[in-house]
Parts: sequence; C-alpha cells; structure tokens
Amino acid sequence: MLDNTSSAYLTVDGLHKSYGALEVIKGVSFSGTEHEVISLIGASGSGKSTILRCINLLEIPNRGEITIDGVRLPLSDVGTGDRKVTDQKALSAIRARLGMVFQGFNLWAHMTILENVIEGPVHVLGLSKAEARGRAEALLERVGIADKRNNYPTQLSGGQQQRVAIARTLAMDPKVLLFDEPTSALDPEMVGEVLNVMHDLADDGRTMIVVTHEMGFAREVSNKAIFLHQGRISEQGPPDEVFGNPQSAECQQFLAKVL
Amino acid sequence: MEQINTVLGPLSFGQGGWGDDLLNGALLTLQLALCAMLAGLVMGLGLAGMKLSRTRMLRWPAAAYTLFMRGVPEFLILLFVFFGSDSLINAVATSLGFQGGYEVPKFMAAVAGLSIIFAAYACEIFRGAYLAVPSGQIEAGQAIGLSRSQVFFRIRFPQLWRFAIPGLGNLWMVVLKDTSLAAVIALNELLRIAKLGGETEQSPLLFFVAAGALYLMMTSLSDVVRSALERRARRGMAGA
Repeated sequence: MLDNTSSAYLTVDGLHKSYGALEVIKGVSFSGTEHEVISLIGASGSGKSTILRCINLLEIPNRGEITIDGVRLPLSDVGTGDRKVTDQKALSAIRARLGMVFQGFNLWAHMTILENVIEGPVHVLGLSKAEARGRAEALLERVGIADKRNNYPTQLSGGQQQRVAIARTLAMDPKVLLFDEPTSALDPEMVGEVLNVMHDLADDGRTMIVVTHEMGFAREVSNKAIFLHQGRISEQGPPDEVFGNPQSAECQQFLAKVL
Repeated sequence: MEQINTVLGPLSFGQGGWGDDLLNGALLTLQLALCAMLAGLVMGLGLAGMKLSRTRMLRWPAAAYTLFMRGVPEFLILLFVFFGSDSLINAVATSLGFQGGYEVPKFMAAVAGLSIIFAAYACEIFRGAYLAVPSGQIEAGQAIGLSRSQVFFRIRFPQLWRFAIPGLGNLWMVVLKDTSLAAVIALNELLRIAKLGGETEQSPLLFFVAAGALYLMMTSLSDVVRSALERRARRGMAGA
C-alpha cells in the first residue's frame, strides 16, 4: 500500500479514525511528493475533512502514522488506552509548518487583518513585529487585501476573509498547505477570487492538499486526485484518469452527480 | 419656598443636615461594591477554570460551591459570614495557641460575604463566555502552532469579555444593591444612614426617597460605564 519511494514528502499510512462506535476513516494510505497538489474529493461524510484534520492533529487518529518531510507526528503507540500527543512542543513546531485554511475562515475576530497575519510569525516563529509586518503587508498585497489591513474580519466579505486566512497561513512559510473546503462557505460570486489565489500558489510549486467540491479546480490544478467513499480510498491517480475514466461504480455515480 | 426648605431641611449639608452623611454612605456603598466585585471577579475566574478543568477533583468542588452559593438566600450567607467569621477566626487562633478575641473589621466581613456570592455567579458567566468563543478560532490558533497557554491568553481571554460583560454588568447592579444588606452589621452604608436619618428626623419616607435616588444615580452611571466597556470589547464586531 505504502509508497515508500525516497521522493515521498508526505505519507499517510493506515489511518483509522472513529468517533465512539462510528468509524469514519477505515484505513487510508497515500503519499505525496514536494510541489504536488493533491485533491481529496468525495461525497459529504466520506471522511475527506477528517483526513485533513488528522494530518495536523486537530483530530487524533486511532491508528496510523503520518510523516511529513521525514518527521513523524508525535503520537503515542497504538495499544492500551486513548492515543495521545506525546510531545506538545514538537506538535507546535510541526503545525507551524503545516498551513491550514478552514471552510469558515476562522479569523480572530478581536484582531485587525494585519494583526491576524502577524500573530503566528511573532508569537510562534519569534519574528520581530517590524519584520512580520513587512512580510504580512507583502502577502496582503499579493492576495489583494492590502487596503483592508486595519479593518476587522467582520468588516470584510467572505471571499476577502478567506484570502486573509490564506495570507495568514502563508506568513508562516509552511511546507504544506492544507485546504479544508475553502470555498464551500462562500457566496458563488466570491468563489473565483479564492480559487485564483490557490491557483497561483499551485503555480508557485507549493505542496498542497485540497479538500474540495470544486471539481473544475481539482481537475485543472491538482497532480493527483483521491476519491474517498465511506472512509476508504476507492480511487486515486492523475485527475484526468480519475475524472475522465473512473473505474469504480461509486466514483462514476459521484461524478455523474456533481459534474 | 419656605415650605420646601422645611421639608428638605433634614437633607441639607453641614450642621444639623444629613446630606453629607448620606453622601458618605453612598461612597461606602460604592467602595464596598467595588471591592466585592474585584475580589469576586478573581475568585470567579479561578472557579470557572476549575469547572472547565479536565480533572474531576477540581471540577466537583467548584460545582458544589456554585450550587450552594446560588441555592441559598444571599442574606443567609451574609449573616453566616458576618457573625461566623469572628468565631471561626478565634476558634482557629485558640487552637493554634494564640489568644482569642480577634474581631474581623466590619468592612472586611462585608466584602468577604458579598464577594463569595458574586464569585459563584461570575464563575457561571465566565464559563459560558469561555465556551462562547468560536471553536474555529481556537483551532486556527492551534493549527498555526500556538501553544495551549498562547491560545488561551492571545485568543480566548481577550474575547471572553465580549461575552462576559453584559452578564457581569447585570451582576454588578445586583451587588451594588446587595451592599444594603450589610446594614445588619451596623456598617454605615447608604441604606443604614437613610434609616438612621429617617428615624431621627421622623420623616422616614423622605430619607428613603433620597437613598433611592442615590442608588438610582449610581446604577445609571454604572450602566453608562457598562455600555462603554461593552462597545470596547465588541470593537470590530458586526453591529458594534
């Protein structure tokens, strides 16, 4: 199952996740190389977001290991009792290198846009405020929100907030970007502006894992598409194959519905 | 005009008038309420921390405390503290070999009594406010690599006030008025002065109306302060 080539930058191996008696991830393994864009697609409830949240340990997987750039996520061994994070410091360091963009933006409501973007660099990476501000302004410029830097999140539209959230993530200079349905909470006319930013990031060679319902984006931008069905990978490969010539019945049905 | 003077005469300032006594009473009321609130806020935060703890040994004493304090009449708790604190301290002192005969200053006893009640209610307000901070914002902090204490002090705590201030403002009003219960230990707060003045001058109604007006002034002023604080805590929020 496991692709153990030396080029693997990120590996997920035998991932299981249950909530009580409900098993939502039933053994998922995949790997990605640097600069690769992986799309996770599938129906609601298929487990795509849960996989993403396990990768930065917002959810603790019951079984399985995750390795990023040679560093294994610090989880206690499977065995007796609940699995725990064994090293909070190591976890923070890993998370700081994994950028997460959420469906609901999750900007900090009591901070201005600029404060949102410099928070991590100043308090996690230890940058000076001046340095962090310089970088933040360049990033906000890049996502087209520089003029809103002193506004508060609720004064921005959803699309603008999501672009700020992307800038906040980029400010940490992450190795891997995780996108959890980044356009699903947006009004239709704002989806494009966010996808454009993501498209640029992919062109820059960013390593990205994207959970999305935007099939056009997944097909056009990603190098690999993974189709999930009921907590298992039922199909994966180059997007042209997965979208153009799906083998499994459930993937065919899913694509027929959404395309 | 003369009639008004004779009616309001007892409230005049200076020799023979009760005006300055009433104002002093109001000042003591305010001091009492402020001290009780400050102590109560600190205790309330601590209790909320205990109630939200993962450790059962911390959770249940806090739960028992708030249940008791909120489930028994405030007056009863105050009487208990007012009249029990002396005996308690003396009992402890003698058992340790010191001489008895200590007396807790009345003001301190009143602050203690009021703040332990205030703390129980403040605890519930803080707990609710803690849980009201959207979990997505907490996750965003974790995801960027903030430590647990950073998440608390940088994200949770600053936003706590937005949810807590309305409830705390309400509670402040209650405490401000509950200070009048300290009259039973002959603490010269506003209501006791009004009662004394009314009896001495044989016009209780006049003095009660005056005291009521002073309470109302203090509570209305508090409301102005509360809305200013609320605006500050909500800056940047929609509709602020």
